[in-house]
Amino acid sequence: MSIVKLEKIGFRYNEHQVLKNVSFEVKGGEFMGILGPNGSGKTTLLNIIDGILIPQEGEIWINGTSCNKLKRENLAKIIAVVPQESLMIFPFTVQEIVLMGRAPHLGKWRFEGETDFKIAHQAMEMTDTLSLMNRSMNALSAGERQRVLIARALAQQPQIMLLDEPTAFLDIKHQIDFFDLIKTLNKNQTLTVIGVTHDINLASLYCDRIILLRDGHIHCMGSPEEVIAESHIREVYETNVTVDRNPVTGQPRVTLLSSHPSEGGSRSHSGAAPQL
Amino acid sequence: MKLIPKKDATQDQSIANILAGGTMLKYFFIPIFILSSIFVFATTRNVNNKVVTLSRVIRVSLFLFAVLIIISVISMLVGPSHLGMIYLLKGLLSGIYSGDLSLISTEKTILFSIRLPRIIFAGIVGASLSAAGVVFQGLLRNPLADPYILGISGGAAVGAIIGIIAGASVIPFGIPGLAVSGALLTIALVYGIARTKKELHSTTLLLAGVIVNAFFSAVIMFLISTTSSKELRSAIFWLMGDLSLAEWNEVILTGFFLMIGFIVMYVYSRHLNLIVSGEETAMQLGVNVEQTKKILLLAASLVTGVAVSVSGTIGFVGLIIPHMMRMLLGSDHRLLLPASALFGGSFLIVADTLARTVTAPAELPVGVITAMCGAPYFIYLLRRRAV
Repeated sequence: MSIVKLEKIGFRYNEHQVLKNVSFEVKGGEFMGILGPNGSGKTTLLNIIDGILIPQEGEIWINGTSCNKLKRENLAKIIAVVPQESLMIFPFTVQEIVLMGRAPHLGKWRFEGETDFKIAHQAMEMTDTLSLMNRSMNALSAGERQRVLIARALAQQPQIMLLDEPTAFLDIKHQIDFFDLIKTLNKNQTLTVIGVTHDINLASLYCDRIILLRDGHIHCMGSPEEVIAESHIREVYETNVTVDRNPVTGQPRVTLLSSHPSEGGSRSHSGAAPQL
Repeated sequence: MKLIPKKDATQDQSIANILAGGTMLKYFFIPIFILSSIFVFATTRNVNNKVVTLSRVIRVSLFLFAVLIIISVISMLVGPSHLGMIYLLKGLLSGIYSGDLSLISTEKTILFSIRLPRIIFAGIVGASLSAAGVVFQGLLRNPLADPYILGISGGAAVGAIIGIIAGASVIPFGIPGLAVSGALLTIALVYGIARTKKELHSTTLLLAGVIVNAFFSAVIMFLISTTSSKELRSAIFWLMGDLSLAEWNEVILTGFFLMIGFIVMYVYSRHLNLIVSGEETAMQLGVNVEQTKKILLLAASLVTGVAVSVSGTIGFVGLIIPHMMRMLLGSDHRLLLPASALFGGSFLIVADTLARTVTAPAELPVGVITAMCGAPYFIYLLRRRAV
């Protein structure tokens, strides 16, 4: 059974149509990627799944329950979000941040109990943030902060984890570390992952299926092999690329091409053989 | 406004000749306060890294409450009258033991009808402003926010000054009544400006508050420039913040509103933690953000409005105390809110005691003391980048 099901979703900001007729299903334990150029509606789609935005058209089912019948608090027990970046205005410690993930499980009044501390502890263990426990969130590096945000999401004990361009500010090592960790959780904890990213190659490496959005509708959907094809990427992103195979994994790999071939050529003088 | 704010001083002068000694003792107050603040620092530092639990909230609150009581008692014993501190303390203690104060009636009047209501009043106003300051800083996610940022003080001041000019002081609660009306109207106005499509944006709210404040400053200046010199002094005193009008009526009124407001703010204090981490994050963690914001803003505005209406615009308390407590205790509002309220109360009691003693028998507006201590401290915090 599908854990998330969207049916004919349409969304407008004022008069501007952001999403139209978007329908898809995500199965439990699946790793789903959402790709698309800027302004194609990726983040809006994510915000609709986590209930922050209410679509004007269509309906969403989470675990077979219609989303508008779920209260915020109950939705937060099922879905957790790892945002792009989270800088605190006031200095919370890592442990405090991770414990915030317990919020949907506590009422207004209750303080965190033994179990909550244990769950937060486990979440920090899994994300290798235990040693940062008492540090201020703002004193951490971008990579460390991102791991703390995963820990907070894990403390929610969700079935679904949404990623909103979580690696946008990370270098390549931390990008890979981040997605490796998510993939491990996806495999071992049977966590369903739906992630928005700009990085087509990362999506190709980690996702089971990919949705390619264009102007608010689904351009195509399927396995990385099906979606990441030269024709699709060129058409949707309106840019020149070539797609070949990752020499190690065999997954599709996108290479960007400059529209100034001469400049691209002259830069490559230092490394590869000159193009003539 | 009653124009006899110097009750303490004038009455004390009349008995000053009868009772000798103890003049210098009032200056002991300052080192005592410094010592107790160091004590606060020392005892709270080492628990800085611990997470907030109910027992820690209770422990810190009890400790700060004890500080508040000690400061209140010392403040009661200090004043421009030449009553010996030790003598008064003995009198008070004997009262506790035997149920009968060994003090003469003038002394009882000074202690219980003049000093005590004023001290409790200062405590309540300080606690109100500090608690509201915590909530405003959190909700607006702005370290520079204070209880007056949304223009509540400006509205209250316009109401109060109109009252002073119109001579509303003859009616009971005349001036505070007008000030509260001014504050409430301002809250409604600012919210009305900032609200768009059921949503309340922090930035818009801040901007609306700043604009409304600027407008009211102009109105205040206009009113003051048309005022006679006698009323001018009252108006200026009101603007600088003045606790000398404290009577039991005002004490009970502000105390009541503080209690209600504080309970509401405390109920939502954990949700406030989440809102501070980002409104979207708070929603993703299950908080009904719009509703929580509205309730918290209303509670904090009301507490501020009432406090301002009876005491004038006492600056810096609502800005400094939350930062100080956040540095010492961390950002968790479940601890920050009660700690700020209790410490803010103590702070204003000390400031007010200084205001009525340092230039005795004349009296300084307490706002002068809080700003004179507050501004340099804030600069220090800014330089340390600890804000």
